[in-house]
Amino acid sequence: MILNLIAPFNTTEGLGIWIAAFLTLCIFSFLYKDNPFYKFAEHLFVGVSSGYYISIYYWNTLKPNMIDELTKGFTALGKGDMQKAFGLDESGAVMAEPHLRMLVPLMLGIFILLIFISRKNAWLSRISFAWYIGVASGIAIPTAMSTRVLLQAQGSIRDFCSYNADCAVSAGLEPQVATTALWINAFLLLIGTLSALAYFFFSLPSKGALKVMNKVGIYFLMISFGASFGYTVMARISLLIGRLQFLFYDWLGITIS
Amino acid sequence: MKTKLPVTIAFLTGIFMAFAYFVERDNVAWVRILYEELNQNNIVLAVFVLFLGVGTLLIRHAKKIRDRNSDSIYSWVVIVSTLAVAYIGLFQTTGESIGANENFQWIFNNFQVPLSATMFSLLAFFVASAAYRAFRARNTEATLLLIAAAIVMIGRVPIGAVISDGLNLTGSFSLPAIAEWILDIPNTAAKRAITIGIGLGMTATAIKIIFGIERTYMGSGK
Amino acid sequence: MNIWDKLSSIDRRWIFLAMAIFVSWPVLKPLGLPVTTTKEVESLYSFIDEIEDKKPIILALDYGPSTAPELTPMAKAVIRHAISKGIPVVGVSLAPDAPGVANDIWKWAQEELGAVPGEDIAYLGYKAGTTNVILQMGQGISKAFPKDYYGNSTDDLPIMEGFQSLKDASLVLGLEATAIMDLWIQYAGDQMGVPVAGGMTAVSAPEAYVFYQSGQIVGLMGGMKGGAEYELLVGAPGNAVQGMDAQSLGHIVIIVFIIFGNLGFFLGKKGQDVSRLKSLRGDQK
Repeated sequence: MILNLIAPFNTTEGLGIWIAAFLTLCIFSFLYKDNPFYKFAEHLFVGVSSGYYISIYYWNTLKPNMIDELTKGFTALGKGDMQKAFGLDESGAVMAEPHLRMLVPLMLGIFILLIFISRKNAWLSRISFAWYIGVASGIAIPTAMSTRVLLQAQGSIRDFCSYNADCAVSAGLEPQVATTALWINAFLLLIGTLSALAYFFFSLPSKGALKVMNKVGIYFLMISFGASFGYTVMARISLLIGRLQFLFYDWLGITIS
Repeated sequence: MKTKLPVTIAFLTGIFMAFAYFVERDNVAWVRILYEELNQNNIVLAVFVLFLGVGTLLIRHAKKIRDRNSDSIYSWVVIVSTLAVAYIGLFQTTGESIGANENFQWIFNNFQVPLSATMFSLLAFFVASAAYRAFRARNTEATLLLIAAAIVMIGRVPIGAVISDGLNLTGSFSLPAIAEWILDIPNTAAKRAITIGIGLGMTATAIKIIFGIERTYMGSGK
Repeated sequence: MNIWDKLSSIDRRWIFLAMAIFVSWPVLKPLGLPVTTTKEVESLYSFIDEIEDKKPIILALDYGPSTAPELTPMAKAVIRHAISKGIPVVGVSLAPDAPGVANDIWKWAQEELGAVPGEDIAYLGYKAGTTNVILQMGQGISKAFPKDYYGNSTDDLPIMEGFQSLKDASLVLGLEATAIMDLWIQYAGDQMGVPVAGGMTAVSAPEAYVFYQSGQIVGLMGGMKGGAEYELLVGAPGNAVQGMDAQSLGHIVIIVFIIFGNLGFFLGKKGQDVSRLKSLRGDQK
């Protein structure tokens, strides 16, 4: 382990590393107890994030998708070209560039901002939210059923098909040689899915066969939550490792020999 | 009107977008055009929703400053830093994009990155403390959860293979292999049930929104 | 208070200190524990290795600095692999805090790999709207991203030649910190038929196994371990491989404290009181 010079203070990059290290240590100080350094860093985080998001949203979405389009539309309008102003070509067909058609989302956006401006007219924001949510809901229905229900149900019995050469070929799957262990795994997967689904079925009383399935289901669920906890721990520690790598390698200049 | 109009709009937009999925849009021009317009509009609307959030945040902190709360100094930090970063991002960007704004990238690398990353890395300590305090093998289910967690935690990192070699556990009985099996079979089975449930729930909620049964997006009030 | 009660009431600051020491130690002095690869990562590696038509990979960088230690190693390893095979990489982001992270990765690719911007790699930036952006990319990449992150017209980039829509991509690899992965699978994968793969944070990875098993994704990298595996497969161990030793010790520390807590609970006075209460209730029944 070699300890090099700490990041220089007198360059932009070095100054940045010192600021980053200071802020990192401010946040870590919370582990001892809450203190003004932590509170300062926490509030700075909120402020910097907000400013960052405003800039990113403006330059990446608002300006290219709305402001530039409206500018081109008003320019065309000023030149008397009504068709082009509304994003229509000479034959009246709709062009990809919307131009003044962006006045519709602009109006809906202003309705949202009315929440701040006028309490009397704030109800208009409901139109914008209804529009947004309506579109999102309509898109979600067929694909949610397909991806999360139908294809998942298919996945539960997929292995059985791939162990049969004819079925595999007709379903476009790669045929697999079925050992006993693979068959057991396939059955366990199917039983586990059905029993976990049965656990969440509250419309019938938990008696007889359903009670047995519920019990089996909860065992599968508990194992799954254990796996999720294990991975969650892995995720959190990874983030800590990332910060330590910054402090040791970038700030303190430690290199591993 | 204040309720019926939004509900009607949600219905019309929702029904159309669901209908458009099943139509060969390339062959039916009006469906394709309207579908693309609605997509385009939603992209821009998302920005105004952000501005709503940021505006609410700034108003809340401005009220704290006006009321001279004990912590109002920190509200100054929020407002000044928001305005400073927004100024650098909005007004110091020349040309057509923010990608070339070196100052903005510097602020991101030396403020946003350490603050965001460290805030989340605190969780490593808290997950250790919480696991120590709360994880008790009180019954069969809790014991199963603990054992599965321990096997996955050890089996998925390099030390799992070392421990397995030390205990002479090889092949399918090594900790990494057992961890892999836990993820492939019981975890997949249970998560599949949850995924199917989520899919059905999402579909039901979307239908309720479209038909005006679910109106929470309109907020409280008349 | 006997030793078992003390074992179950350790001040949390001692736990924090133990975590700090045992996770820092391997960062400063690596243990050299061997990292092995798993089939989910190997299948993603094989898929990219076998891409023949050199159509671009869409690399969706949908994460910010808070999850960068897990996902950035994946991004760099995949870009290294793709560039070495002559497969162009087009980056997009659907998460607002991604562009800053992506910008640094793109600079790294140019300096470290000699990737030519606009030809080997392109970063189109961020767009709000997640689902709507994916759908719009299906209609035309330049419809969703008329300009790249650096202000160049998307249609004029050499990398976009013959690559008009998302459906033309050879693979969509989503590096995700949130539920956006589900949207790539739903819309790009199932609706448009584009092969999709996932690089997830470890928190989300267990839920993605259902999509891997059903064949809806062609490969899966989970957490820093997934990144370490891909770094090994491309022959360029980096930060993720380095972090695996610290990961190992961190997990051991947590398991040791869980054992302490359980020992203290069951063998200490509190645990015995609970057992006595339970047996009393059992007698009354």
